[in-house]
Amino acid sequence: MSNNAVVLDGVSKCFRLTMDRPLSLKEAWTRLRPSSGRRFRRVSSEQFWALQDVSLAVPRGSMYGLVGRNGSGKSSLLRIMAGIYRPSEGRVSVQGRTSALLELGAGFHPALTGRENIYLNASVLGVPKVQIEDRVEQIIQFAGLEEFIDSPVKIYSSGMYVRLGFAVAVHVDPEVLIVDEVVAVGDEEFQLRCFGHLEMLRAQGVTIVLVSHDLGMLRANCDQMAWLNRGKLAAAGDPQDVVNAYLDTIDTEAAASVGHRSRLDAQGHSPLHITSLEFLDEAGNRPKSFATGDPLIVRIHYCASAPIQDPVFSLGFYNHNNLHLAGPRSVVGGFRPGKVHGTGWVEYHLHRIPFRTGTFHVNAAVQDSQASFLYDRRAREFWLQISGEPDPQANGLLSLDGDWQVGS
Amino acid sequence: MRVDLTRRGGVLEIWAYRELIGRLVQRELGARYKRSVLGWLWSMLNPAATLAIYALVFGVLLRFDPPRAGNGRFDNFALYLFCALVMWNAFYGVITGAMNALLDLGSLLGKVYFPPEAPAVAALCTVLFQTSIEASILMLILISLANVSWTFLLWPVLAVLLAIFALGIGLVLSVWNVRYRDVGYLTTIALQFLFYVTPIVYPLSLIPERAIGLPVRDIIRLNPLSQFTETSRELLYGLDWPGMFRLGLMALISLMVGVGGWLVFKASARDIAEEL
Repeated sequence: MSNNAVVLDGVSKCFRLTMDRPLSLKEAWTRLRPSSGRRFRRVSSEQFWALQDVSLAVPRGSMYGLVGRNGSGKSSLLRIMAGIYRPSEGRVSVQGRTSALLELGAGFHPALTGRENIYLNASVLGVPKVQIEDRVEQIIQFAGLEEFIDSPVKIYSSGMYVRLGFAVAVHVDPEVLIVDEVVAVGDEEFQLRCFGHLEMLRAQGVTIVLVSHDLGMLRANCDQMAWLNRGKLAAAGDPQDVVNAYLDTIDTEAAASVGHRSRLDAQGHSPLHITSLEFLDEAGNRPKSFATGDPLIVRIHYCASAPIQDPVFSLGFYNHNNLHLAGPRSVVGGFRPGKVHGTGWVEYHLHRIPFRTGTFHVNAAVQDSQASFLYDRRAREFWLQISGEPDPQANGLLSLDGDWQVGS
Repeated sequence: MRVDLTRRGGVLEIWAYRELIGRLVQRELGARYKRSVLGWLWSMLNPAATLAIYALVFGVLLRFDPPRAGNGRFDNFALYLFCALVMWNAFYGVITGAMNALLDLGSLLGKVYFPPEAPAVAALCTVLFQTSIEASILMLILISLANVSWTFLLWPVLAVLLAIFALGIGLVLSVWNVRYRDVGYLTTIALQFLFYVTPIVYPLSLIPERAIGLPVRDIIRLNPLSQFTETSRELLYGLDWPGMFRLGLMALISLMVGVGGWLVFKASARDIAEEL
């Protein structure tokens, strides 16, 4: 118990969704009198449980990752950990000074200058004045805001906001640092610096709770992870297991949504649709993840409501940063699927997966034979998981199929 | 130290956040006279101008008669007025300050945790700073006129009681104002009315015993704010001791309003971070 920095015990959070929030006394009055209220707009208020019975413990000094789809309650959970929201049910306790970086301009007052906001933020976090005075220059330097520090923060760009927010949050000697997916806003260089700093803080024994959609990064860095699904804790514990479990449902949910949704109905007139994508090994199985160097078969299922001559299929492989890694098209090598009609599939055979460990999303598209008309395109729906121990002998995103030779 | 986030809050927490409150006060005071030529002089010119206007209208034109000062050597309507006005200014300042501060700082509450009372407490401290300037000037003038007694020492106690009283009301109004902006407009009207049903620009003796079939003078006397302004006049102008009973009663009312307001605030501000 005492070794946990944050403990959540059966935490639930309920928001009242007021469809029509009474903004004035008059409206409240009409609401108080049901007889007259009926004549006016109906004011409905629904309950929305953003979190339901979440219990978890974040060990002290660990890096704890939180994953989940948008709207799964991650941010609410962080706000509860930071003490901003009060849980509707359950208990939360935190050991040590908590610093939270929840969104752009974490707790800045727009009318104040950057410098004043540093002091304001520090005092909000309960840092003694003397201590912050020593740090101010360090913070300004870290944020790279020397020129603008005495201007009101309302003129700052979003990048400047985040940089200053991050700089303050990590320089106030937090014992628990809560970071929502905000760091992703800065440029590449600043992101690297942020992660470097997080690493350093972690080495100093700071507990870090992190939300991110970058599964590869989380899995590589976190000691433990939790996955929130629609407000409920779906899995918690070992990062590899949590990520796998999470990826599993992404696939099944994507498949389910494809099965349920009639894309023809949804999109109207297009005669050719991609219904799903499967990642298979040589034996035709669907493993959860692949290893670098494995063969991979991507099976593209289609459905054609009319006969179509030689459509062109294409795939796009992207890493978590949306970097386009490869985009094979079915025109290469004289491939022609012939006339397609009804349901069927085409396969792309990759003899050797060149991607190193990480999560990749695979887009698929289908065009007419002249590549002038796009029948269908599915983006960011299918995820390919490449796992395995990081190879210490190599760097980069790809593993190349080359040899080294000594010059003669 | 393990903090249970589900049950925090309390007077001690406000103390723990004194650094923040100090920062807010500093900011409020610092920003107040930015970009003005006269700067800090305004904190004296402003009440002086108000005082001059009221003294002109009610003392000179309407000829309200002030009673004789405690030392029996002079009577001066402006000073008599000032003794009550300083109380009113403090009361008005705390109420409006608390309401504005919560709206102003509300957006911060959704991003970082601090006690939601902090803005109101900071507003209170800002007002007390202004009040102490005004009171010092008033006392210096009275001392220079040889109208001074040990009753002056009791005045700060009265000011603290008023502060508690006003903070209680200010806290409640500020949190309601977040939910219903009408509260702000209604408060402006109510304060205007309150100003005239409190003996500030007139002595209580000027009000008839009965009017429109009501015992108006007693009604005005029952207004707790009247007790503060009248007592302030007694202490500073009349050099009178208001009596243990009245002081005790005022202390009791102030504490009741203060604690009651704080409790209402606590209950209403529970989830304020979600509403702002």
